[in-house]
Amino acid sequence: MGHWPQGLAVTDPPVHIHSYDSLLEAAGDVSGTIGSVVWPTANTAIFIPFRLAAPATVRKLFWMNGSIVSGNVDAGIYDKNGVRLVSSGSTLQSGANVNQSVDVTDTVIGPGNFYLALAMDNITGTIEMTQSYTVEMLRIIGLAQQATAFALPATATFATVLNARLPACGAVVELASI
Amino acid sequence: MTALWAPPTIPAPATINPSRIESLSTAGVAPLRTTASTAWPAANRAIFVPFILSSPMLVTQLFALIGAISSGNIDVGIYDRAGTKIVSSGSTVMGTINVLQLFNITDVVLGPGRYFMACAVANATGTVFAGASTARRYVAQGVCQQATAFPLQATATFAAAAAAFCPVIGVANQIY
Repeated sequence: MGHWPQGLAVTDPPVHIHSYDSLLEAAGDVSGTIGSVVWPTANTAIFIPFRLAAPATVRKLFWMNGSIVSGNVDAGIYDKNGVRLVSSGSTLQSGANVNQSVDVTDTVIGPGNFYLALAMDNITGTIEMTQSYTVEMLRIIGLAQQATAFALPATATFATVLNARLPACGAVVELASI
Repeated sequence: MTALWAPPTIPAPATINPSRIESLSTAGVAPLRTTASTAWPAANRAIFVPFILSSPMLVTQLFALIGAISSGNIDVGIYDRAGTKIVSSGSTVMGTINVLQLFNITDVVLGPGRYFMACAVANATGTVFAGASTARRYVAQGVCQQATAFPLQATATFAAAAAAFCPVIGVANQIY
């Protein structure tokens, strides 16, 4: 048995687009302006890469609602091959200018490379998004998208991102005890 | 002696660019969103940007973000820390302006270790997106250059970076 303390990390920082595990390390910083923006195309899913160096249990998924809420949102996590591991399912967008979270089935993932996924079924509701990166920069840091992907499909078909919009979303995870 | 604990192995990412944690990772020096279209600093100059892998990475593509003027030819590659070229695209016509140019290469698995991503351009008219911190900061971070190095040489002779210029180039397993 190792001497490393047991039971660490009961509450861990969420994996979010700004976190170390995700785009912070990919882009040097993600401190560009975030604002309330409509979803680029109804039913499009956007996939944002992150990675874990150790197993973690996904407890919740969340996104940042903008100033107008409308229709439904689906958040999920996919593996690097496009297999959906967990998702919220279609969820009524609720609460302007708040972080909306959904309890999901506790799911252990990692270590490895994954995608946060977010899809919306309309272009009226808004999400807080960064627009500080060009489409080509988003490609460089590993984003992908899929059209006609609401609710999030069991298997994603990753395609080139078409809009310079990076939605603020994330996952509440608990790292496994070491 | 058996180690009681070892740090977890961090999986290699799908793409690496100079702003990633594996490379310069420098908020305030080369954050990707602050890069801009910039002319290549000197014809035939090669620039080498260091990166580190803690676990193996299958590299299938190299890339460069072309700027507002496309001109002449470009060559991108990977070198080991000793300056031996591992793989390169070879001289290739510079791609469409303001678009990510992807170079499909012979697949190569890079093991844990230190490497350089490299890029050379045959003229000083063509542009790529680049960070514009000071040359000495880039020197401090291990960015190197070589004159008269187009196309990329089999063996690099590293010299200290002389320009406030760090190109947006990179290595990738898969870019969509």
